[in-house]
Amino acid sequence: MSSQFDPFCLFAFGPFVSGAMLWWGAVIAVPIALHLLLRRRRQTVSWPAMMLLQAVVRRRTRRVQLWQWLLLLARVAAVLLLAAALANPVLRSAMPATAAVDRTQVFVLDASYSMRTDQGGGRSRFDVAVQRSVQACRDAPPGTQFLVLLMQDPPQAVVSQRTADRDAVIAELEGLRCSFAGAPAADTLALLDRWCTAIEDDAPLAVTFFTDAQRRTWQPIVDGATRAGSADNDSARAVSARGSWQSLLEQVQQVDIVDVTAGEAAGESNRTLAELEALADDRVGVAARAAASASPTTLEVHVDQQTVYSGRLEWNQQGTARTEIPLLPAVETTVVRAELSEDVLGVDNRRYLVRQPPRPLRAVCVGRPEATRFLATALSAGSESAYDVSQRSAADLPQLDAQPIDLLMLCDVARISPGAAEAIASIARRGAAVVWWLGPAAEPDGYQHDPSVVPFRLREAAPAAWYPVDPLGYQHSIAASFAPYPQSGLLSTPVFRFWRIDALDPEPNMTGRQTALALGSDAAPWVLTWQRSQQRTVAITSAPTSPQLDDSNGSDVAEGPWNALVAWPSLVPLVQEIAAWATAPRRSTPSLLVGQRFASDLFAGRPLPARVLAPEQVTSVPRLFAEPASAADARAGGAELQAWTSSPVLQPGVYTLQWPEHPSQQVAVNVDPREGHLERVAAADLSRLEVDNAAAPSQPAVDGAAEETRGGWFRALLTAALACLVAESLISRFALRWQA
Amino acid sequence: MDPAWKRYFDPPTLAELAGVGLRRSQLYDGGTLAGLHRSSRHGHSVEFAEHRPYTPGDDLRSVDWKIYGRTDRYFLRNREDETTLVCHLLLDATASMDFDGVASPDTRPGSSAEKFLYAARVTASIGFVTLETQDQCSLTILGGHGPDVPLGGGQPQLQALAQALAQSQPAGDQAISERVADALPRLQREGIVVLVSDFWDEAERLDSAVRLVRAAGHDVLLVRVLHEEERSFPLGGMTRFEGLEGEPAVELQADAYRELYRQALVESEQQLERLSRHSGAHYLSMSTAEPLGKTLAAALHRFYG
Repeated sequence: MSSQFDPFCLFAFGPFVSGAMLWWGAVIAVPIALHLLLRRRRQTVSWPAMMLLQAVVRRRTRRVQLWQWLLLLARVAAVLLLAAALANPVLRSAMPATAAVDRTQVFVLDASYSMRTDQGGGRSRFDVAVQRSVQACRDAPPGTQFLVLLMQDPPQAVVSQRTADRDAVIAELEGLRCSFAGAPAADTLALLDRWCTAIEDDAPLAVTFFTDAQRRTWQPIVDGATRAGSADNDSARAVSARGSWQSLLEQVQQVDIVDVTAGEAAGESNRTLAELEALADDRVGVAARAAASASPTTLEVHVDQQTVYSGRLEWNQQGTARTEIPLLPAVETTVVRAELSEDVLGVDNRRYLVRQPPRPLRAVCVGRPEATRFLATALSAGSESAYDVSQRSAADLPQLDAQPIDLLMLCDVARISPGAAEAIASIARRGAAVVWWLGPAAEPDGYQHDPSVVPFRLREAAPAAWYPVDPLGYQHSIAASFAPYPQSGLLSTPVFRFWRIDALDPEPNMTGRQTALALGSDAAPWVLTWQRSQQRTVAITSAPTSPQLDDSNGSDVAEGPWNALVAWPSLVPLVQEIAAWATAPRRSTPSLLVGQRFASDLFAGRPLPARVLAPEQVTSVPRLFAEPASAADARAGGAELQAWTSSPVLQPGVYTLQWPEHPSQQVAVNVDPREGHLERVAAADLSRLEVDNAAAPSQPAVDGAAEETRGGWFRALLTAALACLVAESLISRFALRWQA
Repeated sequence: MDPAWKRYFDPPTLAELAGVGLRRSQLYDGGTLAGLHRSSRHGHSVEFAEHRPYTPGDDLRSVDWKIYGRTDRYFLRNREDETTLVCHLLLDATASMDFDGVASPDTRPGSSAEKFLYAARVTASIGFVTLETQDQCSLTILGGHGPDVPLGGGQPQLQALAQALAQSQPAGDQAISERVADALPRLQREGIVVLVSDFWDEAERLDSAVRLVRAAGHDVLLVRVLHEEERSFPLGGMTRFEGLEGEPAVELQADAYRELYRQALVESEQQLERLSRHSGAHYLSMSTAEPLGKTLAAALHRFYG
């Protein structure tokens, strides 16, 4: 589709198919000019008997002027009617449902769950979006064809075939429901791009977004161009979104972004329940987020519908709150539900967790004994320990693949061999936590493996100095446990050296990478975490070793210890908190975010379930289906069992998957807490995204029915123009002459 | 011959006016000199007026001695006095008189237009008739520029009239009725007021002005002078008419209004005639296309015998 303006091609304008012909209306300037010219071609005389003349004029002029105006009116009307006839008008009432392509209007409604925010009076942002889209549909000029797309995860094509039946489109719009997922812009724009490409004719294309302009949705588009050089995953998405946006702009004539929050009163801020996880068999961790100025809220925790905790949740300066709720160890599978008190957006105030009965987690510490012994000891210390800890050398790593492992601790391993890397990848695929302790023995080139195995690169060891520990505001769950005791010395561990690393993303859909603890004034990562859906990875850039006890590395002895962890009281709690966070998914059944799918990867060793039981309030039950053989091979690595998956889970809750030969399994499905962070993109940025190319497309083809309708109007207007010309002739020939 | 004299006193015209003159409609004692016109005062003319008993102080020269001889009583024999006529010539010199017809584009402001020249000649001719009978006249220029000529008689007055008319120029936009009212106090003696104008003024105001003059003891002769094109309205096509006295301009299809204009002009003439009749004035309407001498002579003969 060309975006260059062609002044000679006809374009639809209002009810006119050939709007360019309206330019002929300018011909009315001719009779008007003649009228004025004739008035100018007059003689001017000085006349003494003006009194007499004025008396005469008073008697006669009114009638003569009336006829002159009628004459001018007839001439102008004749020209205008002629121009209108040539412009091929189509009136809405006469527009058939299968009218020709004049203009394609795409309505994109943001259905991310932030659109469920109550605007007051029980009306949500999504209700406003629907209302305004319906109005825009009604106001669209005749001949417009519509497409409707829901911007959610995954995007949903509501009206995927162009239609001019606006009643049907309105019915579809009014039947839309807001999702419980986010709205990744890149996916929506990619679908839009495909739609635009598929439209083969040259009809002008306009896209209107109805959105609450959340930063999470729109910032990637705004930032895409400026952050193109960055290598992190968000930037990659931003570049992708921006690229899709540019592609969209090249193909469409007009892009409008309708902010449905315009005029929304600033009310109570939203609170989001961000995390609910089983940190141990007898406690769950709860994290919540709100605006810094938010008032305390009430947290309730229910286990199998029974309230086991109710208390106030206080927010820190960063607007976050974390707490741990002690629970009795589960005897059997239990459903834990945490709820915050209601606010403007209720969807993100609730999270589910399915706890499994306690079982000892198998932890394997791999490395030299001098490195593993402290960690193994710390891991099994105290009553908190729920680990069955074993210590293995790095050479044993390839053999660990076949063993059931919940936590793999790699303690200052010098090099990762290819066999060891394969074993680590296999262990991680099964959901085991992987913790990398990086110490003086690590060799940077020994860690050059695929990011899915080693999600970082060792850059250089920081020079020896005292690097204070920065808890980064106790934002991370690992650090949060230390927050009540800032002066206790638990996080004041002396660190003298550490590895500077470059963090990578193991996979494109990584849900989170976060630095839990940092070192030094430049906040270099000390404890860095990666979280995939059911697997967690932690890297600690300064491992606990003792130079006095380490006789294998002379250089280390010469350079002194990297930290004082082994002598510091924070070793045990730190190791245990890291292990607790890393293995939290292992204490519960697999959980999903809305928009994700049940898949065989989550339920290793189980075939396609017989069915899925959805919670009572859920209206959309995911469909299960076996994956094609090729995809299954790729995913299952040639396993005997056929891989399976499901349609995206669209609503939160606890679902039950049933197998004939296996016990049923409950799965918690929660909303993505990031969508609950109600922060709008800057209005200026949003308005900069809007585009009006104002390109005039070529004359669209018309089908027979529309041609016939337009032909009727053409003839009617032409007849009226001729009638005006006849009237003009009569007036000028008879009326004015008779008056004269 | 003085060019001004020749301009206003055309010998053929004057010849046609021979034998006509102005007369008062009633006895008149306005003149200071003995003249042709009967006066309400008793004097020493040969015309007998009445007898009346003698009262002390009467002039003994008027005692009718024959009656005294017959009746032995004193009676005075009164005779009519004969005096001169006073004629006040008022010439309208407002801007509407400055019209030379639409066919004469060379007309320059300030020069005597044909209409005004014709009116001046009418004024001069009436002045000539007045002075020819040993009466007295004055000239007052209403509006415009030009000197007034005070009351006087004889050949010098004729010369003064010619000079004053030659110096007068039409200008100004004040209504003629107001000009007349302004000039009236300056008319020193009762007489005949001859008002030469186009009378483009409201009829009611003209009526008031004439009655005011009549109330001051004057006889009134209204002479309307119009340009021939004012009467015929020969214009056609879209025409913008601009007033000479600042009236708002009018644009119209001239030929569409011609008949109506003429009809309105006739109505205006009739209105002025009615006005004159009711005020005891004489009214004469003249066109620049008409021969001045014959028209004026016929009218004066008709009015004054």
